Amino acid sequence: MAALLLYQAAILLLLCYLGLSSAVLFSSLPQTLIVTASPSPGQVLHAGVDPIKVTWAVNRSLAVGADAVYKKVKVSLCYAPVSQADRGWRKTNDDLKKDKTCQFKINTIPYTAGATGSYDYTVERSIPTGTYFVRAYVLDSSDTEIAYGQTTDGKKTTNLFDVVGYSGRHASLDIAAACFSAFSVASLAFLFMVEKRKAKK
Amino acid sequence: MEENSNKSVLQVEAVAPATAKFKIPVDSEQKATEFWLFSFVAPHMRAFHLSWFSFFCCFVSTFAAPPLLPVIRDNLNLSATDIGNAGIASVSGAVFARLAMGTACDLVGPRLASASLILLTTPAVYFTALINSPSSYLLVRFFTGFSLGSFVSTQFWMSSMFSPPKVGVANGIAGGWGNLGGGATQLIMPLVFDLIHHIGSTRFTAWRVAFFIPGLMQTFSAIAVLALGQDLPNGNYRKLEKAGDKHKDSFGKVFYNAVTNYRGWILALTYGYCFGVELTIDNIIAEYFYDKFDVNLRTAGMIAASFGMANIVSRPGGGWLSDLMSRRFGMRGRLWSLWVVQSIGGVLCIVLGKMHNLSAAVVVMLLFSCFVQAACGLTFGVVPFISRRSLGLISGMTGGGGNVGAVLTQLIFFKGSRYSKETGITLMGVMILACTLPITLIYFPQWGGILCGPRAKATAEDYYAAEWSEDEKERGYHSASVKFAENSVKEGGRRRENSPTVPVDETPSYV
Repeated sequence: MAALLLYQAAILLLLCYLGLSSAVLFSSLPQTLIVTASPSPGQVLHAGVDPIKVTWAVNRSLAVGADAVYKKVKVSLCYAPVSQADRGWRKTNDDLKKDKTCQFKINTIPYTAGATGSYDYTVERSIPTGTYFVRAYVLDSSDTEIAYGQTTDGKKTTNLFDVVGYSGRHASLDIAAACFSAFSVASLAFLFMVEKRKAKK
Repeated sequence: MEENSNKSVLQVEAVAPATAKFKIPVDSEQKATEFWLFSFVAPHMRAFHLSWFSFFCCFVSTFAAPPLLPVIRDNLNLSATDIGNAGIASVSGAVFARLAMGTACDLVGPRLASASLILLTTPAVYFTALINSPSSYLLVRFFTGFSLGSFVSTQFWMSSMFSPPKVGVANGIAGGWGNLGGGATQLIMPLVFDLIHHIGSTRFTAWRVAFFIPGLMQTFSAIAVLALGQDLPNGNYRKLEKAGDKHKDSFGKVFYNAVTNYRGWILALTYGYCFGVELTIDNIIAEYFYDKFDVNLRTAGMIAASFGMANIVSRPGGGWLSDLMSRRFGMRGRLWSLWVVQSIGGVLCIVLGKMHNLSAAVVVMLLFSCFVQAACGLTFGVVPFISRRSLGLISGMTGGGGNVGAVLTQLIFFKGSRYSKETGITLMGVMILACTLPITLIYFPQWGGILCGPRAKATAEDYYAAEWSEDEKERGYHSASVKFAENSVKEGGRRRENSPTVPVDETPSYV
């Protein structure tokens, strides 16, 4: 009985430890990368068409050798607060596992110490209409976020750009919808008339 | 006409050759006294299958958007307020549509009324494929929602085709299997979307194409209703009216008779808190599970679907329970069971909002769905008896009240970001409990109510005949009501002993 309780306690402690160690908080990450993106503030990009060039470099004030643990850079497209307003499914959460700010991964690129990295990206067709900025997370060898950089300021109000999403509409859909609607109304009218004629007999 | 009522069904068939044409046993109004679920015999069972399926298609269309919202909200840049408003709009159109349908059924018959409504709303479903803004989203959901008015024609048609001992189960299954559409669509739409997306369309095109499925289902089921259905056991309204067999009633009188009957208003309120709650859940539950428990679109759809799918058995179960309680306890049994079942539904709703574990939430949701849908079935076990002259309008008022409840709950608890969804669900449960209490106030002089027994010497004949003026009674306009009163004698419960197996209608005075 005591052994069972001890066993359960051990499992619980283990889970707690694992739980704590896997929760990365955004507020705990140092902003050591300087990230720039090609769109100018307020520029409108079209999904599926326009390109974005992202460049990043380590902040010069960082101690030499501190970036030895930096292994990869994960670049993402993130929602600006104006696109998050009244949209709980895009909410910012300090726990990175629950955070929904950056839903579109651009790419993950290996990190080269001391050099400036860059990546060319064409805005995918599935990116929805909204206002965005670019954020890059630095990952260590276990793919855990250890630092970040972003194109906008701390309040996420400067240097934002817009994306106009792909509408998904097609001319063939428009025509099909019109035809089927007309058919529905016409069949009602037709059967109505048949009805009237039957009743007259 | 009255002499036939004390003969057995077999004798009626021999004496009056006109009624021998029905395969299914019927009463003096030619309404079926048995319910053969897997049969398509004309006109009774065929009417049943046509009506529940066309209503099912309307539900599929009205709730086709919610399971695809995670895609649609990105395509159209919708905010939580836009989504909430559209959800309210989707159920508010039917408030008016159900009232109008009640009147239309009384005046032109359920076939024409329902087919017209359904065919005229299908364009809204097709045009959903073309929308590109929050306001156009709201408009298509609003107009598509009108089709839910066909509920009234379903209940009216069943009440015209089935005798009182079977009307609860007929109404319950027709309503339940129709409501099933709200659950089926949560499975159908993500599946169709995945298929089209897999074939090669982008997400934002795939959901648009998916909407043609509910549209086509709706079009063809309505055409079937017109081509294959029949209003009454003896024929269609227009033909019977021309032949003088059916008196054409006046809208003003039907309307006045309905709105002055307080029981109709009470049931309109309480139906808002079983059916209205069901509609609300249809609108919010997929997104709720997707966002709160982080499941994917297909899983959220499956969970949401299981809520609506319980309708296969729970709403008919309610109707069946109503008929069962009536056999032993009469109308009082129907009212008691309605109150108890709906209140339990309210308690379970409160609990659902407090569940933070996925499996617990699913289990509570399933229990909740059973009770809330059974309450809907139980409600329509009572509705056919409130009025005979204004059956359509009373059905319409109750049905419309259901939608008003959906509008109110979404407006108060699920619009914008004021309450978290789980708080909204719990508060909705409290409102269910409060708004179910008025059932205790319903009283039939001839059968009693929840708190009091029947008045001595009050009869069903008096109650239904009172809907007509002396002048109208002299002209025999109320003859159908008299027949109905005789057939509903069993609502007095076991006080009047009858042989249980023979579907015969006897009152002591004729024996």
